[in-house]
Amino acid sequence: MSKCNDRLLARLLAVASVATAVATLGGCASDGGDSSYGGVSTSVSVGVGYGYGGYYGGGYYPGYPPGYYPPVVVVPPDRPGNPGDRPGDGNRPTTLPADVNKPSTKSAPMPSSRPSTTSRPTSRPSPRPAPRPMPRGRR
Amino acid sequence: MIHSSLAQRRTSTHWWLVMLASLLAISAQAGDRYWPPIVDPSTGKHTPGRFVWGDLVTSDVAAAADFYGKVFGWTFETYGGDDDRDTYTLALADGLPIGGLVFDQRAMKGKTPSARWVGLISVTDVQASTAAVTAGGGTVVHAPVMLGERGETAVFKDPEGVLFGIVNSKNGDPADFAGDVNEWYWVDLWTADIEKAAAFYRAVVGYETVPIADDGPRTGLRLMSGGFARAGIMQKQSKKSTPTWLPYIRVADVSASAEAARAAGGKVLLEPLAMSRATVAIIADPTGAPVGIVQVPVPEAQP
Repeated sequence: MSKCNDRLLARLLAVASVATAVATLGGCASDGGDSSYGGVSTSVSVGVGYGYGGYYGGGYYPGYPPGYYPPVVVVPPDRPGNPGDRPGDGNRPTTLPADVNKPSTKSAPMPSSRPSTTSRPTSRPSPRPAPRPMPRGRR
Repeated sequence: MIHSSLAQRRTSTHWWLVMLASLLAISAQAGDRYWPPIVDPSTGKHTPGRFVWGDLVTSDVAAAADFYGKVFGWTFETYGGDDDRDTYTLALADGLPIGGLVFDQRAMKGKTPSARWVGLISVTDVQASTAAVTAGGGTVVHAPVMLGERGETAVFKDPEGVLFGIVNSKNGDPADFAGDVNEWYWVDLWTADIEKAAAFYRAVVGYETVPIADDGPRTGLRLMSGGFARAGIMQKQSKKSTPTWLPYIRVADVSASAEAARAAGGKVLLEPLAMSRATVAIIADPTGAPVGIVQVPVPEAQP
């Protein structure tokens, strides 16, 4: 009876351990569209799935093979012949509300600048671990 | 017989001790990582809708840090264990934490520069925002989780596959001022469908949207929260562009920063372009991450 209990306990613990490990991984494989990330994170190492880099997932574009991570491609608009803010030029590369006199800027203002009298909050009183050396470059 | 029973019992006991040890090791590994707070000291105040943090996911943290240090004067602190690839490198602008650099382990195996900045938007209810992401056609890259000193956070793709994160910061958000020089100042979403994107982010973050009808033929929206503009959505101009969030760093001199970017091994994707009250350019760091730079007038002294 005791032997049976031991085995049962061991099996229950094994199941609980696996379940807890999976739960600890959080929503690592929740995308569903990318097998590489979910597969690696859940089956090989908690470190990969929950590590600093692993947190942002991988294979953002399903269909690319594992290890390939397509770049962000930014093709800005053509530069106008004469730089400057000419109404109607249509070449603005940003929605930044920089034109203070325009109605859309007035209706969507930026927050104010930090007053010079306000010191920058750089004291950082919360406890933190000792930093380690910067990672080495690509090897 | 007794011998055998004892041996089996020892084996069973040994086995679950091993399992227990493994379990503890797994829990410790997940919980031990230090994720720096969004703000320190605590403000206790949240400003939903603001982009309060940026993490660079890159194939080469050292090269990226060297670049941002030279161009923007940022300093860095790296946290983590012995494994270079499993580290978090905190970025500070004049001593103020503003973001971090992490390795993308898959990118390290590829040949294509592939880095990108991932912005974290402050929200009040991470779970509710997550539900809105899935309801709105987005996908969950990382489900909500309490992440060390950072707070509760999650990472998503919007319906066009653009990566972004949300956070309910444990310490609150930074004071609600526009960014100083070398800090985040603005962020644009380049999209193929402005209205669809606006509807998605309205539902997930609770933004109000204001159309930009007076800026010429270029159409776009600004995303508002708390009475202030927080970000913009604009039509991407080329089919070759990938939909993306493009963050802007404020600089003192766009032309000088663009030259500094070139000298530090980066690229200038858009040469400095003057608008009436700002000059902008778009650069890419040596690992491939695009980022905008903007020069705005120094505000007049407050009385």
